[in-house]
Amino acid sequence: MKKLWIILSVLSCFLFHGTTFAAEGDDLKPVSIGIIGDLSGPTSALAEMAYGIRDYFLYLNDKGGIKGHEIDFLLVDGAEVIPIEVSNYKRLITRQKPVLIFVWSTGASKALRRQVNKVDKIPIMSESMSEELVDPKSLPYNFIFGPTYEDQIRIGLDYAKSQGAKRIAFIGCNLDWCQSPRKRIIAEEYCKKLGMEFLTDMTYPARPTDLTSEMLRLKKLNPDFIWVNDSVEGSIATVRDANKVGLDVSKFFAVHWSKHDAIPKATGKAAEGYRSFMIIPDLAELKARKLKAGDEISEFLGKHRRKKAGTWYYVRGWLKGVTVVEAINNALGKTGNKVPNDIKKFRKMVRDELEGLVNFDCGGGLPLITYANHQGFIAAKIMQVKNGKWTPISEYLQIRK
Amino acid sequence: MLRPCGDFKRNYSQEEAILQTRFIKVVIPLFVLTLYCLPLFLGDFYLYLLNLVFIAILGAQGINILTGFTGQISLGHGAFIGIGAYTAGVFSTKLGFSVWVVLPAAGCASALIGVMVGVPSLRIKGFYLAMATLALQFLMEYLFMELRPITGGSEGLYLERPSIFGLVLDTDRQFYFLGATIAILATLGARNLLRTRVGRAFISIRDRDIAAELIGVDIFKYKIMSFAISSFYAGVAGALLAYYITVINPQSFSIHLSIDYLAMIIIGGLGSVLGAIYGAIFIVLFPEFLKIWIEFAAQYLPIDEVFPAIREILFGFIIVFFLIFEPEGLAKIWWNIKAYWKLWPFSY
Amino acid sequence: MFLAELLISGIAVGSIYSLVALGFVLIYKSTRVLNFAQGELVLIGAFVAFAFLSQVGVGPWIALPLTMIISVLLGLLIERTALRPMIGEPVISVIMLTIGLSSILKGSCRAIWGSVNRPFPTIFPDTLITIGPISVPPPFFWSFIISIFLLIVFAIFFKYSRLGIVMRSTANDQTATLSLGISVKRVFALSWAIAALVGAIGGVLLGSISVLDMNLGYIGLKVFPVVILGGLDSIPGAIVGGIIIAVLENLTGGYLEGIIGGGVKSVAPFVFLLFVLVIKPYGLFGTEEIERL
Repeated sequence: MKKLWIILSVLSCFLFHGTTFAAEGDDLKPVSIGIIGDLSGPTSALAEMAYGIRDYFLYLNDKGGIKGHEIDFLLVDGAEVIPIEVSNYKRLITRQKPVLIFVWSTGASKALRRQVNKVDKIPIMSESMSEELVDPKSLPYNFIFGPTYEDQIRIGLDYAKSQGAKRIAFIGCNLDWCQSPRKRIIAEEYCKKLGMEFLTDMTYPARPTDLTSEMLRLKKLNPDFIWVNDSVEGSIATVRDANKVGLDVSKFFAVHWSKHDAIPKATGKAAEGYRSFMIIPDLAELKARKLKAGDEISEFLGKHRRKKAGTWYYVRGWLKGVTVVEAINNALGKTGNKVPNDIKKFRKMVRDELEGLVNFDCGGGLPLITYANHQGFIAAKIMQVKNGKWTPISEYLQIRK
Repeated sequence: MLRPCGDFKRNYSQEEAILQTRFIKVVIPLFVLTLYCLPLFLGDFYLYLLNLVFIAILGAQGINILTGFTGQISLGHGAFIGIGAYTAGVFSTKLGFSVWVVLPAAGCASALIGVMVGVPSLRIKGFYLAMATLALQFLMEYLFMELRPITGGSEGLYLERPSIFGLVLDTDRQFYFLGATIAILATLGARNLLRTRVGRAFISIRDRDIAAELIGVDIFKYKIMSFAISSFYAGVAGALLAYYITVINPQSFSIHLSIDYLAMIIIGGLGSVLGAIYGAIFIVLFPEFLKIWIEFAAQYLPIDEVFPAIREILFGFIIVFFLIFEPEGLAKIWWNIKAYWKLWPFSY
Repeated sequence: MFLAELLISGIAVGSIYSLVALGFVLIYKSTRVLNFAQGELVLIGAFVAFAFLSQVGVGPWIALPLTMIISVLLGLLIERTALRPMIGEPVISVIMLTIGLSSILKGSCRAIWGSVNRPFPTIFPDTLITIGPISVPPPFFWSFIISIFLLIVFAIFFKYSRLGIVMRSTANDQTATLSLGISVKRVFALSWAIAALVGAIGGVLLGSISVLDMNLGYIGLKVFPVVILGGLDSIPGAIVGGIIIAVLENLTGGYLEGIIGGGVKSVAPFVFLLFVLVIKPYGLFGTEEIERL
């Protein structure tokens, strides 16, 4: 009998939930936005990016939303596994009917290209920075935020050339976002064009724990410049094991995800000289430069007492939220402050407004954002670990295309 | 089993009939009919979930034949599903075959690998077999990733939705009918297998393989057969999954998928055809309901950050709970409920 | 030189594999349970030590004993609540139970500490150690020393101490042991406690040679090739197996990856496992099981 009641109560919970989620629309209909983040998967060290977006929306809702429209956002975990992200995308599309979705991984964004541009026609802001997602003509609904991985490798290689490097090697994990940019740069023979010798492209499983044998092989090949296309875990293992086998860490240059304080913290003195890109400043810098986003973030964090936030990943999420909200704001300006009942029309409008952003200052000290190229801006600063701290060693470098 | 009064069996074929009582003979066809009518009423999201459930049922019946009926532990079911999915990917995108060729081909490719794994199973069993299948799982994951010309490497393969009789199954609603049909066929197949000579041989091997050999069951043949049938199911499930999600990728077929399928048959009830269905439904829907709850709670608490952790903990707790308190799974719980209501109000 | 470096790093990592495999072997030896949660015991151990060292901020001489006590308690708790009801259940149920446990432990770890990776505080002296022409990083050297020391201690414990003999006799024949008036349940509890303890030590060592994140638990999967090679119930097997597997990993990483491509290193132990299963299913030192009707 007891068992039966337990089962019945569980079943009733299931039924109860079918009914609580029907929200009715009125004059100030909420604007709904979906966020897919990686909260548990191999890139979850960067989960702050998804929280940054969410927190900006929370902040905005506290302030009364976008022109009085509340933001109805949903943050879901995609775990950097393509089918999970795809299925979450479907859940969002069918259940929440959002006007825009923040997608996380390169793999999922690529997998969804057809669905997004041909079927659903919904603007997608990817966390990925893959060049294959940037094509305003054939992929009108895909947007990214900042320079692509390929752009970064090109800036890196140009810089290496200017420093007199001759022998180039690439390493990175086997996730799609790590692998495909390297393959593309190799395919276009960028190193050869610059007159440098390309030695090898090394791949290891995602989130490596031990790269000793890889580093020993690299040491044998003796490159001058090693591009690391991997995130924090890969960089930590790289720095630690390169140092262990006596490979000079200042030969390495990592993609911008690796500009994480964990690297000097986890590896100590070994990380001295490690380089990476800075695209988005962190909270401390925002505050020091007295920028608008810095004040907003501190106000929000002070109110909600979240201690951990403040990394540049978090700021990146926040600024992406700012940019998207600006586009939605513009769209609402054109409809006379009404969320159209036809969600498809609204999606198209938001897309057009996003693409139409010109010289927009998001208040985060970035170069001005112009979204005609679907990237917003293409510039990065080179950073190097000096005395346990990431220190800029260049100004914002533009890309020559 | 609880049976209505006067339900006497006069021969073996009655004893082994799939639909035994008059009530069941009415209810099951009605249920199938309702199943086919459901897309008329349900929204896209529910159809999407049901499609995933159908695919999971197919895979769960497969592993149930191997682990539940024959007692051979497999930690490599995810790999078999992956083989099916990749075969489907290669056959449909690179060779351009239609769905009628692709589904059986995916099943057969998977069955072929299954037979290859089955061969050493004569010598190694129990935990050692689990290890061999675990090794297969990692090996296949590696091959999916590294056989770049065939599998597309880390990027994977992109498929188009299949077309049947000229109709492209583009929406979830259209796919539903394919999924439901195959799931029903798979269930019928598994149920039927159980009452044949082959099924009895499987069960005898599970219960005591040496004894089975002594009474003349050809262990080698039946073990191989079990592996082949099980991985055929897995292969077809993989092909359907590939068609449905339209993108396949090495990460999708990791050890976690194998564990999910094992969890399905453990939670549903080992060696029970209906149990595999319950388990598949449970494991597919459980995270979805959890998500809904968390979304609900996240409006008030910053709980979405711990969602992955909660999901992991609850998943573990459910498995442990079932193993300790109800080893025969949901099938047994359902049976208990039926028994309770049949005798109600005199349930003692 | 290249080869020597590969070998040394392999042996150092291998000693940690051996230590973790030891925990697995201990549980299998006395309770016949195949523990899929060994990797998560390592994970929890590493994180608890981290919590004491960095978050509470006590010195290693207080933090490490506290970590050990907590992991022993955890081992006892797991044995009492989850494993004891499973005595006599089929292999598949026990495997799934430990898989479920590993999910719980990992989830709890994620809930408490989050999935952000953290630096593990240094607990070993920083001076570089040189053996001949090759310099060995200190954490590697100390891990090797500690692992080998512990493995020897346990080998002696099983050979000569009263408790060790009791545990061996339980492994040999539970009924006979019971009839001699020995509490088999207590032996089970003890073996889980020891397994959790060596797991935690392995976690601390692993944390100090690598970084602290949820990935540490994957060492639990690497243990399988080790124990299959060494023999499921053999302590010397765990030692030899661990070192062979890690060296194998490094050699394939060093020589084959350049030819075949990335990832060979992580799959090589499992391919090797398949070979061992086909050629010598009971491993190098394992007891052959003879089935009777």
